[in-house]
Amino acid sequence: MQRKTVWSLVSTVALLLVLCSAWASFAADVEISLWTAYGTSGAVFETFAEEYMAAHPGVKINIGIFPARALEEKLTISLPSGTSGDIIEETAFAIAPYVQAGLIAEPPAWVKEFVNTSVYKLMRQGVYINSDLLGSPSVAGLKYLYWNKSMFEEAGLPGPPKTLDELKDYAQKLVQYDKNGNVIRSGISLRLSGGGYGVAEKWWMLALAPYGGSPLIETAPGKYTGGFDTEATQKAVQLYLDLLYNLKVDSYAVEHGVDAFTRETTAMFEREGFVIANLAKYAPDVKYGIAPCVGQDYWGTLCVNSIFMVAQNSSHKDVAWDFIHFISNKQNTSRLYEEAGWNPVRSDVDYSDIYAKQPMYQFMQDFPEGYGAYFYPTIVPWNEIWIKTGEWLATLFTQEQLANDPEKLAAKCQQFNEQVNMILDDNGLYAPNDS
Amino acid sequence: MLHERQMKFRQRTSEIVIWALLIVIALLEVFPIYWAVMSSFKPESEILAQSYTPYPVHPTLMQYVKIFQQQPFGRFIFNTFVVSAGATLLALITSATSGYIFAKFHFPLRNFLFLIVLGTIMIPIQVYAIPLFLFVQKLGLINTLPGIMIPGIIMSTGIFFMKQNMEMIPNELIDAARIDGCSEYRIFLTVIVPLSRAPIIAISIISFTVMWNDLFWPLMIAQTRENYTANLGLMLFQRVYITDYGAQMAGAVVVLLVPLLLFLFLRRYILEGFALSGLKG
Amino acid sequence: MLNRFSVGKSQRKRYLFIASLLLPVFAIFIVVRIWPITETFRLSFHHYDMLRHTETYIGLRNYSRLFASNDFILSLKNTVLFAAVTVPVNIFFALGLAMLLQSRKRKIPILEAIYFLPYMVPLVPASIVWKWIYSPNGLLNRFLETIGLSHVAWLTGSMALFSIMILFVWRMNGYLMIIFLVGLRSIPSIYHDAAAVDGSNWWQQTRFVTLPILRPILLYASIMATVWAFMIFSPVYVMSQGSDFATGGSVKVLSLDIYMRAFSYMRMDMACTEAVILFMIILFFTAINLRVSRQKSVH
Repeated sequence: MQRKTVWSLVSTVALLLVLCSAWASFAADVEISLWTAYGTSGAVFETFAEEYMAAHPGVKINIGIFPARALEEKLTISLPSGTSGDIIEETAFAIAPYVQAGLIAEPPAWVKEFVNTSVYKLMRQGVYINSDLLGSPSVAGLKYLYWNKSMFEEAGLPGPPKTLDELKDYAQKLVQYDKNGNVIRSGISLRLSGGGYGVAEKWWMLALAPYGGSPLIETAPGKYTGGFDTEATQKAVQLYLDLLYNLKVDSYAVEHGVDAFTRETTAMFEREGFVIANLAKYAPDVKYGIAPCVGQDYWGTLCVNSIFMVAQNSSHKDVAWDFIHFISNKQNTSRLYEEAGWNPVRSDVDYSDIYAKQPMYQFMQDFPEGYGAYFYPTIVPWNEIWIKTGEWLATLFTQEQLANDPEKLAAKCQQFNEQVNMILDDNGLYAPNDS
Repeated sequence: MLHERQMKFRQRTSEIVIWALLIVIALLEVFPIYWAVMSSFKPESEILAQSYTPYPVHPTLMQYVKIFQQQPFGRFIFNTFVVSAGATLLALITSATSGYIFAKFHFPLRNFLFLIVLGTIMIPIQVYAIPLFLFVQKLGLINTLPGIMIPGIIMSTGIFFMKQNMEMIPNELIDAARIDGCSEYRIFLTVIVPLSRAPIIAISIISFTVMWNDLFWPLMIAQTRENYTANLGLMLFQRVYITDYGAQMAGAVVVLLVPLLLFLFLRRYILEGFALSGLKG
Repeated sequence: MLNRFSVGKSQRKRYLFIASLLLPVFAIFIVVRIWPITETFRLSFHHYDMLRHTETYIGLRNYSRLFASNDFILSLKNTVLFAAVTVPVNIFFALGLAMLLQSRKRKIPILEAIYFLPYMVPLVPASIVWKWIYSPNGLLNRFLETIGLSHVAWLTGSMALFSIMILFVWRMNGYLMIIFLVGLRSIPSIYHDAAAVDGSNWWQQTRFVTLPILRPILLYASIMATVWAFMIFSPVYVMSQGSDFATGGSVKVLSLDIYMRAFSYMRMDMACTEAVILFMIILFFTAINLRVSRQKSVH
C-alpha cells in the first residue's frame, strides 16, 4: 500500500544522499593544491595552473582561496592532520609553530640559490626562521603612504609628510568638518577597528616603528620580553589618541582605509601596493601620490613576505616544487605583479612595461637611501600575542579619557605588557629585561 | 451619557494605537529582508552610488549571476542541502525509534537514560565541539560532508518530542497489532509512524532549519571550497577591501530563501508543532 | 503501560526489539554527545599539544591562566551583559506583542507570519544584511542624516554590542512570540470574562490570570532566551570579518573566544576549559530561572 512506496522512497532518498555526500568528498587522483589567502593573487595562480596543466598532462592543480584569516585557522586543523594543501602561500610568522613541529618540508637546493641571487636584498630575511629557509618567496607586502594630491594642493602643502610631527601638522590642515563639528573628511585615516591583528599591524607601521619601538624585545638568544612598557609604545598610543581626540583629524563615524581613500573621504593613509590596482579600477580619477612610510626616530617599512611552502605530508612534493618554480620565473613574476599589485620579489626582472601601463608602480620600487625594513617575529605564540594586541589597541583607542592622562595610559601599557609576558612565559620564551 | 462617550473615545484611541503599533512593528520586522531583496536586484552602480532608493531603478539579475559564477555558490547550496537533509533523515530515525521505546516500553534504566537525554538538550555545541572535532579528525572525516553531518544525527529535542507525542497513542492499537501477530518492528513502521505524522514533520522542519543555519560546526570542518556550506560561502563575499554589497545581498537572499520557503509552505505544521510540544506544563 | 500479556516469548521479543533499536541509537548518542562532553571536562585539566598530540595533566592551571587573561574576562563580561539585556527584552517584547495580537477579536495570520519571519532567516545572512545597514554610510546613518541627526558609529566601541543585540532580538523574537501566543490562546476566555465581571482592569487580569497560567511557557521562554544569548556566535564572527568592525574589546563573546583560542591561538586545551566555564554559566542561569519560577507559584 502506501507504506511500501513510502518506504522505498525513503530508502532511495537516503541512499542518494549518502552517495551524494560520498561523491562530493571524493577526491580525484593525481592532483596537488595550492592554498592562498589572497583573492587577486589566487586568480592569477589559477591562470598559471591552467598553463602548467596544459604543458603537463596528467597533473591537476587546484587553487584554494581562503578569506583573510581563515587560512590560518584552517592550517591549525589541516597541517597536523595531514589534510592541508600541498603548497601553502603564507608568511613566516604564521607558519612558525608548524615548522617547529616538522610539518613543513625542506625546500630543494634551487630555492636557496634563487633567494641569494634573484631576490631583493631588502626582503631576504623574511623567508627564514632563524637560519632555516622555509620556501620560495612569492610576493612581498611593503607599506607606503598614499596621499591625495588634489587635497594637498588645496591645503597648500608641498608634498607628503616625512616625519610624524609633519604628519600631525598636515593632517590638521587637511581635515574637513561639517557644521556640527564632526569629521567628514579625515586628515589621516587610521585603522581603529577590524578583525584579527589589522589594528596592531597598521599601528606598528604608522606609530610604533617610527618612534623606535617594537612589540617584542629580545633579551637573550631566543628569549623575549614584551615591548609594550617602553616610552616608544606610550608615544605611539598617545599619537593615535591625539589624532582622534585632541587634534580631531579622524573619527569613528567616518569610513577608513581603502574605502575612504577611494571615495576621497580621507587625505592620506598607509597601506601596501595592491591599492594601486584597486584605485585604477574603482576610482581612476583620484589624483594621488605614493611615498615611503612616515618616519621619526626610525625610517623604514614593515616587510611581510609571502612564501611558497610545501607541506611535509604532501605526496607530490616534486610536482609542487616544479609548479612553484614555474610561478617564480621571470615572466610570471611580471604578470603576477601586474595583476595583483603586491611587491615582486625578483630584482633581476625589467618591469618597465608595467611601469608604462601603470606609472604608479614605479614608486613602489623606490627604496631611498637609508630606508630600512623590519619583520615580524617568528615565535610560536606570535599569532596569539598579535591578535590580542589588536584587540587591546582597538579598545584603548575608544577611550577618550586616556587622551590626556599619561599616567593612566602608562599603567594600561604596563598591564598589557604583563599579559604578553604571561603568554611568552607559557611558551618558555620569557626572559625579563635586565638592563 | 458623557461617561459612555468618553469610554467609547478611549476605546477607539486604544484601538488605533494598538493597530498602529502592530503595523509599525510589522514593517520594521520585515524591512531588513525587504531591503536585502531589493538591493540584490540592483546593479553595482546603484549600490556604489549609495543613493539608497527603496527599489532598484534598473533591476538586474547580474548580482545573482555573479555569485554563481565567481564562487561555486551552487555547490554551496547543494552541499548544505545534502548535509541538512541527510542529518535530518538520520535524526528522524534515531529520534523516532528511541522516542517510541521510551514512550511505550519499560526496561531497566529507562528513566535514567531518558534523564540523560533530557540533560543534553540544553547543552550548546560550543561546549563539546572540540573533542568531537578531534574525534572526527581521527575518523578522517575532516573536510567531508558526512563530517559536517555528524553532530546533527542525534537530536535530543527530537527524542523528547517523539516520546511526548507517541505516549498519546492508545495502547489498545498496539495491543491489537500484537494480537494480530505483528512483529514489534512491523508495529512500529505500520502503526506508530503513520500516526506520528505531525511530530515527524515538525522535527524534520526544525532539524533541517537548524542544520541549514549552522555556522560554527561547518566552519570547523569544511576546509576547501568544494565542501563549504551556504553560510560559509556567504562569508567569502566579504572581501576585506571593498565589500561587494550587491553580491552579498544576492547571496544572503539565496541562503535565506530555503528556510523562508519552507516556512511559508509548511507554516501550519510548524505552528502546530509548537502546540504539540511539551508546553502544557 | 506494560501490556498484560503472556511473559516469556513475547517478552523476549520485546526486549530484543528494544535492544536492537536503542543500543545503536545510544551508542551513537554516547559517541556524539556524552563522550565529547566528558572529554571537554577532561581536557580542561590537561595541556594538549595539538601538533605533537601529547597530553600532560596540569590540574587547574588552565583555569587560573584563563581567569588571569584579560580577553577571557572581557568575553565573560560581554557575554553576561549580552544575556542580561537580551533575555528580558526578548521576553517582554515577545509577550507584549503576543498580547497585542491576542487583544484583537480575530486572529491575524498574516501579522503572525510577519512577526515570525525573521526567525526563519539564518543568522549569517541576517548578520550580513544588518552589517550593511549599520555601516558608516549605510541605511541607518543615512536615515539619521535625513532627519538631521549625526552619524552613529554603530559597529565600533560600545555601540557594537548594542547593535548586535538589536539584530539578535529582531531575529529571535518571533519564536518566543509564537509560543506566547499559543499559550495565551489556550487560556479559556471564561477566566478573563470572570475577572472582567469582577471589575478588574487589564493590568490586574494580566497579573492574576494570564501570567500564572503562562508560567511554564515563561519559564521555557526565558531558558531558551538565556541559552541562545550565551551561545551567540554567528553575528559576532560574521561582523568581525573585514575592517569595519570592532573586535575584541567591546564584542568578544565566549563562543567566539573559544573558537579563536582553539583555532587561532592553537590552545585547544584552554578552549575546553572555557567551554566548561560556559557550560557552568548556562547551568547557573537555568537554575536561577527555575528557582524564580518556582518562587512565583504562590498558589
